[in-house]
Amino acid sequence: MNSFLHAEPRDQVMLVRIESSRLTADVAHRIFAEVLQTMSGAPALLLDFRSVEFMDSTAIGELVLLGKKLRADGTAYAIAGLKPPLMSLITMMRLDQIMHFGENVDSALEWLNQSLAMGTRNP
Amino acid sequence: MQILIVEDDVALRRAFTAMLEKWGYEVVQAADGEEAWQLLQRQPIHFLLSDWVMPRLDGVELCRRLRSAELPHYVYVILLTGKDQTDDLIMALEAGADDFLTKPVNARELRVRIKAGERVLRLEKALLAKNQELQQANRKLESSQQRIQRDLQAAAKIQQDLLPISRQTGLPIDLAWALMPAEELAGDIFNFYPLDERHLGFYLIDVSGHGVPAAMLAVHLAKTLSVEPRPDSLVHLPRNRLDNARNRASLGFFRLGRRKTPDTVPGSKSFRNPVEVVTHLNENLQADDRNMMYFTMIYGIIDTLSGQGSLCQAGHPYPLLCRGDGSIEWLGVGGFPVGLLPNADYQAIDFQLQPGDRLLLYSDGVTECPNEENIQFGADRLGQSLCAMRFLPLEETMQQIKKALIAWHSPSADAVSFSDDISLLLIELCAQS
Repeated sequence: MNSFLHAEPRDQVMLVRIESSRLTADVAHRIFAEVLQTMSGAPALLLDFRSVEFMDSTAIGELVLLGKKLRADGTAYAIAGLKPPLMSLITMMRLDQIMHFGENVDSALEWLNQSLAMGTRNP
Repeated sequence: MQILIVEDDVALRRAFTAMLEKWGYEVVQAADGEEAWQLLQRQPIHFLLSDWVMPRLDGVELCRRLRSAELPHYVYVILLTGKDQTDDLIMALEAGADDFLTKPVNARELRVRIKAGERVLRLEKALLAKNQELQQANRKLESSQQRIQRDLQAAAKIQQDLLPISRQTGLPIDLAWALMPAEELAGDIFNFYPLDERHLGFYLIDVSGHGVPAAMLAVHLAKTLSVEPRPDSLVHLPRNRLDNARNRASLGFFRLGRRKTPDTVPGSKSFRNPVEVVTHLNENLQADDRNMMYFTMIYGIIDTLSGQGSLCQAGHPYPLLCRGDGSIEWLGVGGFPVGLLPNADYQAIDFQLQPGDRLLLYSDGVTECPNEENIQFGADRLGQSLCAMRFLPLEETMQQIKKALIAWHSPSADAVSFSDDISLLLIELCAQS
């Protein structure tokens, strides 16, 4: 496992914590590519963003691209623990309408498990 | 290899010469240091075997002269002497000798020491070749760097030329603007133009990322949003749609826009409304895995006679409206960036300007501009600054906002270097005369 990610399975959900405080153009593509590698067939992904303090515009674009790939693979996903300034940015870009953002890991896990139980995937 | 033997004793010199030639070396002879020095300056000799005590110029002095001269190659020096004292050894090495042999010379020892010298010379030769290669590569890099710098400056000039030239639009509207790029080239771009005798079109775009790719997309967008009547101009309606619209208008129809995004700017128009413009851009410029580029933007239109306006916010910071009475309003409710999501729905944001009201568009480089403690300038501070200066002329207000940002970012630095592009476009509706 590399130093940017910490992954642990929680039943059907792969919980991946981003351990870099700054997601920028330099690293975002590689980090999200590695997120996909950690999935190893799990039907759902929960990305824990609690350590992330800053995301530049390229990193936000890469996050949307990751969402598109997961959607294409039929993988349910959610994001948890985004800091308020980053959440404001997400709201401004309306990305909360295409991805689920949970306040914390527990609430996002609950949402993901419900989605899996109901056979629904993403917003 | 050539070896220069310097020995004033003729018999010894001949003996050394015979021995060295037997070992396969080409020998050059000199009877003293002075003669050797003359030869060394004329011929590319790399190996010197020299006696210590000689008339005119001794071995140690020859060494010193050799080391202080700037010969184009290294000369390996073995000093031969009858002396066998530590002090003498130190003096010889300090003078620049590489090795030291005492007489009478043991032939086998001399031979292995010459071999050792040859190894040093081979290394020196390889190092010299590598050094020359590096110097050549460095020259190429410098030349390439200069060319890139010239290209960047030329590209920056082209980009500058795409910015507004004059605040005179022929409309009852005043404008001020600023662009401070983080690098030579900016990913931010903005402009405004009269669309007809009463409507002003304006936009501000922030392309994701920085540098050349972002700047090239910004330039492409500036051309696409050009008001010039070109077949591919996005701001104008295509000719066939314009004719249909005029026919419908004559039959009592009014709207030109898509039904789900009603046209909010009144009057007969030959241009697309903001939602249409942004939707077209989004449909035609989708980012993909290889090209992770998208942009945020505001595109708007103001009817300068009625003060009625409409804009489309696409992932861009909320436009700031400072009313004549000093109150602040933030326009918009968010919107998808352009180029990330195909089929994204955009929304028209209507607003009404009164004379004296000021509308500010800005990139996130303004509000996210950090100070030395990494605190962002912030939207509230921007709004307060704008309203506090509402009695100043528009251009002076813009200069004051620029100064405030520079002071915030680097109060003590001589040359300000922002971490993100800063762009601002300020619009004020003038009182009708």
